[in-house]
Amino acid sequence: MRGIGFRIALVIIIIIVGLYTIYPSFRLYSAKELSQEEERSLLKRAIHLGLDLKGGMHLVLEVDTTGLKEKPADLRDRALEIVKNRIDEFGVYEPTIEKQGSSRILIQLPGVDRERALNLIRKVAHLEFKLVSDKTQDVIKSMDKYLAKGDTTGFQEPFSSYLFGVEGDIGFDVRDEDSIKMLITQAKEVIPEGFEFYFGPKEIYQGKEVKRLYLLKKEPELTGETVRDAQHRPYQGPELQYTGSWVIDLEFKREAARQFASITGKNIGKRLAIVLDDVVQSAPYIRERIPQGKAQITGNFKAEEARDLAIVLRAGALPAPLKIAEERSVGPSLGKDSIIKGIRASLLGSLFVVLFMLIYYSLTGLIANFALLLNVIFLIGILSAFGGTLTMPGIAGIALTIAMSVDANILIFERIKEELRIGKTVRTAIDQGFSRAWLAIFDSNVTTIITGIVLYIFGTGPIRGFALTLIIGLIANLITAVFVTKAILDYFTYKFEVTKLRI
Amino acid sequence: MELIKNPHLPFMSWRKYGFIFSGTLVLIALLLLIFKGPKLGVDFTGGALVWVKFEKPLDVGDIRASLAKIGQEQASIQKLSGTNEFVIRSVTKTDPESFANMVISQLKKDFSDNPLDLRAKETVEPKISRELTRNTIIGVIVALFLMGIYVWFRFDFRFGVASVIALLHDVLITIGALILTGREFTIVVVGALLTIVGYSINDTIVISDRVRENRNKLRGVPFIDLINTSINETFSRTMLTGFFVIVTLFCLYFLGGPVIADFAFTLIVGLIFGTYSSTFVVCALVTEWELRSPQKRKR
Repeated sequence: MRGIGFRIALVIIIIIVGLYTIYPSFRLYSAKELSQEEERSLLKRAIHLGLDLKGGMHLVLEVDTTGLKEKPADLRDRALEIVKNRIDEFGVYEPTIEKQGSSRILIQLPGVDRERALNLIRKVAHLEFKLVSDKTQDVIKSMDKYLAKGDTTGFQEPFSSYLFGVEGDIGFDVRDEDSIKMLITQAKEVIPEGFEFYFGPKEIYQGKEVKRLYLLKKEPELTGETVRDAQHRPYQGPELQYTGSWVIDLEFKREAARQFASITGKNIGKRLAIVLDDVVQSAPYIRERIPQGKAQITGNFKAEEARDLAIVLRAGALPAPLKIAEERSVGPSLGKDSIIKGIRASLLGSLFVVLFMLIYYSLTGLIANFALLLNVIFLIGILSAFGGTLTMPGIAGIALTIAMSVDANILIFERIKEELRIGKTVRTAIDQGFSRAWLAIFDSNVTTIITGIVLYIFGTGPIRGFALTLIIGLIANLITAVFVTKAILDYFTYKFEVTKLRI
Repeated sequence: MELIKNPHLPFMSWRKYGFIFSGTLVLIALLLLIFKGPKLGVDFTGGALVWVKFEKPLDVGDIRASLAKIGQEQASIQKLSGTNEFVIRSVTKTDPESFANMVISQLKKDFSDNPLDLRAKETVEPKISRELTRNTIIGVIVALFLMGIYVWFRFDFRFGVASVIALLHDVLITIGALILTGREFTIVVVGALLTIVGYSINDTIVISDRVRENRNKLRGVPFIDLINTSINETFSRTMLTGFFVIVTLFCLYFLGGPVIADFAFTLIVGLIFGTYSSTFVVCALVTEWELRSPQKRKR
């Protein structure tokens, strides 16, 4: 029995390496309390949980080029860069943001507030500063006249009848929005050249849902690209309506700061509207020239909204809107249920297998069970070492690997039994049993590995997790089920000079 | 312990019954596939799925009434038995994203006294689902093809061809079972179908391997006996492994939660027929082939 010492040493090394690689995962998911520092370092070496177990969002976004005049080739890459900056600033741990195909962006965010994250990612954040026309009232009057003239039925309500005052602004009931839009298009001709109507955000005024209406100069005075920094902070000004809300402080780049000073200097007494994605956030009066290159967006923001808006403004506007091509979100509660159920089911299944092996093959079964355990340790160890991800189908993959591992041992043991039956000695039977079973084990593992690879290539998301665990598990299986079982079996038969094998 | 001994059963004399049984099942599966059709999940049709959990009990009717207000009473609403959880799927395929959002906000509004937890949400644009469908079909074909080639190289051409037919047989019957039980075809279920391909070939290989070995050992023995001997010699392994895998899968099926139940179901059906087909499709076909046109073998 040459080399038995060497093989046993190798088995021990395999065990130690396996335990070493599995330790971070074990520590991370079993410890009740961990320092943040330790958690971070463990996370790098531990197995990751997939979105279906941890909860989170899987998104495929497509750059929406409808409505764009030119379509530059790097559109998607620019959008990706900006999305990346936004998510980085938002502070998601371990996000995945990558290209997919030629026009898509794949984003995976574990454990985030779905709606908030979506809003942050998809907001175009096109910021513009536009002067408010001081002739708004006159324009509305001439629109009324124009519409009355063109109205042959005589029943149409004048444009102004939809409007009422909202804290010094002109507002309308959101239920009339369609009519308002229609009348504006109808009376296009009397709206002065270079001006356009804009709406404010939906708000509650005297128990009604209203929007404000502004007539703005089409050409912006400044745009968001000139913003150097944006920070959110609580509102501290005198206006009661904003008390308790949050605001965003903007700081312009140097060149823009000069422009801003001259714009404000020239238009004292007028109003400058801050327009975000075509919605007027606020339209403060310019009281004096503002030389420092600073501005403020007010708008009854909550702390979270203001923080997200500041992030978005700092990261810059998206070159085009992003369309959701695919979304898969799993709430944290489902993830938790899944992992508990998955692990419980797998454990029970494994327990059955281990128990039956022990009953059926007695001591030899114990060795097989040991190889089985090693296989699982190996599998999780390799997954952890390479930063693999465990998904729900992945847990099923582990269960299946266990089954395959047991299959290898059954093949070997049944073969040894056959050899013993025809009267061979224990040692010859073991040797022959292994070498005869080896080909079948090899072939069956390789074919399953091939299907695993096909699954990995053509599958998406969780299925890839399944394929990965299956592939690694089966490779580990070829090592543990055959090499480890043989080494231990040889060791015992050699050491105790076994002449009768109960199998 | 030894529960299963070499049973010395003349499996190949029963191959005719096997052909009839398999043929009938495949025919039923094909008929189901053509006339009933698979219930395709959002992954393959495009559309939206919203899975919510309410704190207090509700009926499908309550949900439907709420959805009717936004003109979505057509949506498919499924209550997960024994829970307050509902899975709502869109029927239309256009703009799944806004369907999902509308449903969520409407339910939140109508049942404001019954807090809702969004368990999961999936929206898939039809364009993406077409790509997924294409990838899936290619994946299954590639897997079948590779298995056939592998068996051809490792054993012989006839086993290769028979294996591919057996795999098709297993996959078709499993698909039939899925349609019959009204289960949804999702990516995860397709993953299970591919796993069946892997497992079924596994089983075939163990028997083929024994045939390969016995061919040299038992020269001069009639082919049908050679096959029978090989099946019988590997019979205890087939039963034991099958038993272990089934036990594991049943645990997953009953305890693994709804996400994994369909996956486990698919594997259970596939496993049973995969084991059966190694004997009654692969070996039976090869035997039939050999009897009709004997291959010359080196003596």
